[in-house]
Amino acid sequence: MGQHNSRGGARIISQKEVARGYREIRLEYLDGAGPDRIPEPGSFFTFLPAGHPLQTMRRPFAYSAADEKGFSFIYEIRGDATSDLAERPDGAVLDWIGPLGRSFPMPQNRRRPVLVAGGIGIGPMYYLTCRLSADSGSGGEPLVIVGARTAALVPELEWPDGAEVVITTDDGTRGRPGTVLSALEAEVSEGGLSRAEFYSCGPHPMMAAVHRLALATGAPCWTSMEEMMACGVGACQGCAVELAEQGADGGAAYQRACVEGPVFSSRELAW
Amino acid sequence: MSGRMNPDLTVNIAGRKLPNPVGVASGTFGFGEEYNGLTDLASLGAIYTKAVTPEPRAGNPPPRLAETTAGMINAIGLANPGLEAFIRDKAPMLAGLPCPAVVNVAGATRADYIAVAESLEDLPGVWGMELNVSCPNVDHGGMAFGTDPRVLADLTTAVRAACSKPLIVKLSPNVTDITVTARAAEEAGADALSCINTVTGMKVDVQARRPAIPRGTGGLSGPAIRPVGVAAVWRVARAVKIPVIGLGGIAAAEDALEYLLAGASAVQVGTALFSEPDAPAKVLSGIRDYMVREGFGKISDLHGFF
Repeated sequence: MGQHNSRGGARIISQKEVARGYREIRLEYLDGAGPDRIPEPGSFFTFLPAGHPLQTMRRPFAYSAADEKGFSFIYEIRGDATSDLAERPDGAVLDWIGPLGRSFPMPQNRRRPVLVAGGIGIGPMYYLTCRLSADSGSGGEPLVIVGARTAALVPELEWPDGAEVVITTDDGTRGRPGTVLSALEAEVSEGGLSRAEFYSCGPHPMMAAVHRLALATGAPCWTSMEEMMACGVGACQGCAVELAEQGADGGAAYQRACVEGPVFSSRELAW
Repeated sequence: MSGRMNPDLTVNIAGRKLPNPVGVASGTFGFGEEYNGLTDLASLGAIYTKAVTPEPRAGNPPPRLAETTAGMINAIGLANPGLEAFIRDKAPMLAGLPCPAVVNVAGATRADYIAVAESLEDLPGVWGMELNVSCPNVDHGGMAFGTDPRVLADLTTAVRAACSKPLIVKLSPNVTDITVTARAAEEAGADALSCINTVTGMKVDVQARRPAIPRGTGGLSGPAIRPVGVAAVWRVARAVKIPVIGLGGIAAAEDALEYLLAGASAVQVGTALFSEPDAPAKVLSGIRDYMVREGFGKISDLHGFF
């Protein structure tokens, strides 16, 4: 139980739209006072929304970048808290708690990392791609498949040189027409994914499909779950995720997305 | 007068003392270790633990939370590791805490409550117990024990006999007249009353056309229920002689002072911890400042103005 969480302030340095309704925000720790460790890809923080206390819950977001000086994350404007965030000027301060939760493990046995991102799941997948590209020890250049409904929703990001990025759109307005799954299946049939390790974050049906593909191909698969959270530190049991295995009483068993997750081996979860 | 400079903040329950009136509410603080680094545990008047039941409980299916205006609804379902794991893994840690630990006792049957209470008698890290007869989120036990005064009195008597430590009964606001259950608990041997547990609430997802929480209803907490809690404490404090511990929507010193002036002898901070884990220390220092500024020597001097 040695986990030591930190809380502090961070100043907004910049934010910009990276896709329609999606924004990337960069923050710097106040007085250089960050957490005692650099947040890893997959881990997250919570921030206090501007509407507090009318909004009672902190908002959890996965990091899209992090270093000693600060961090970034990508959010979608979809409620009061994120609308307020989009309106906040540079220099405004966010109250953060982090880094929280388990991060993504690196690929095992030189397997090729295959990252699948949809919607708001792009943030942690982008951070993981940057980390994998910088890590010469992993099993080949990461393959990143980014799905969106239409071209306007494809995030514009500076992908690292060492990554192969495949864009898919449901309506075919950009990249490969179809879903991330059709792109993945094409890669599999071309024999490109014989030694893959999957990582996914995005809509539940997408993550379920990646899980099934991983099962079918015998590949490890890591999934980052998004859940409602109250405390974010393991106390309230609010962010329960159902496990594949039943409990000792034969009923459903759960783990906390904030402590045992948000990254889980997909085989641990009930789909 | 020295009391003006340094007010006595201790709270006396059944002849035993809590160091100050600001505790953290059951269900919001786990068993104390989760907020390591975010909260100064030594500044807490007491930690009221997550509920303990004899058997491990997985809790309710997700989603278990929904945010509402100035509040949140939860339906956790008393998820806890069970009595055996509590005694093995959590109790030794409670003994090492720099503040008193009050174990929240729950169950589906009378025998469940007695089993948990009996086991607390010899655990050195346990200061007292808080009887959870007001959880709105389980099918058996919970609130059912706290809404019928005869059932509540019988359970309180049985638990009183099972453990000699201070016994606090946590009352439900989901009753017609909370002074009736308050008196029933007092007459059956409760040493203090916590007032209030969450208010039954519901949020509907209008797009999906179903409740936001699969269970339907849950327990509403947060600033939205503070006036409900203050009113309940005011009525209960005038109806009983034992100390009343106020909770419901306390985030700042002024919120706590409302409860104390309404008759509470102590308070608990709950939902506010989620957004501001250091809220209890701020509440405590604000209470102290107010007492110094206004010339109050002890908490009970705040009572009786209305």
